[in-house]
Amino acid sequence: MVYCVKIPIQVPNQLKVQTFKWNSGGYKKLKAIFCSPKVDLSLLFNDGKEIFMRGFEYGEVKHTAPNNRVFHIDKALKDEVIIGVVGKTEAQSAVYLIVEK
Amino acid sequence: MKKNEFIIQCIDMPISSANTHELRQQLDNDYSHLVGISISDTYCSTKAVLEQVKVKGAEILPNDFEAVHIMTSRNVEPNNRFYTLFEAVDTQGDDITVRFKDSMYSSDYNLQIHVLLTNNPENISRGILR
Repeated sequence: MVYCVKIPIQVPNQLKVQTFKWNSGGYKKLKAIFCSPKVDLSLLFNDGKEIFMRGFEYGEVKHTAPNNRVFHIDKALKDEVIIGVVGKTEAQSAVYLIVEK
Repeated sequence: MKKNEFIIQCIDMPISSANTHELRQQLDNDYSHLVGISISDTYCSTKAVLEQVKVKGAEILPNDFEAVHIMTSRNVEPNNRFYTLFEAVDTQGDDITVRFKDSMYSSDYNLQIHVLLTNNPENISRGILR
């Protein structure tokens, strides 16, 4: 079963960076990620690998198929704690994970 | 008569304020699964959110999903306009409920949500019928 998990990011006033931790729980695979427009996103996995996505411009991306705008990963998860850093955010942003159970 | 393999159902939603708009519409009862969703490139702002998209209690997208992620322009081939990265949802004539809010609303517009329905969900691969 494939699910989309939304991780809301609340950024306090004056602060431009926010961090979060996400525990994979019962999910077996991380298939893809995407995030709010113009956000810089960095994800760090248990094995030390890091993914960095810089400022997607969604105004232009509307000309691309929605399924092709996501960053496909296909990474197995086993009690994974993903650490995320979100930069350039507005008051409310979000990170979305496409995961499989 | 043989049914089509899939159908695209258009849900029109007039948006007249920055408040939440809710719409409930019956899905075509000749089709058993909802496998894709898309929003036409409209005047809706990048701040618009789909607060809820639900069929028979099953949420198709997470709450407060940013509409921009499933918005597509006419430049995208019709077969590829659908976001399909979720589990196919059983339908068969059930109602779809959509709660939509555009906090940057500036003038009235008609939001067009398209849903992709089929009887063969296993044949859907990344938005395209194989």
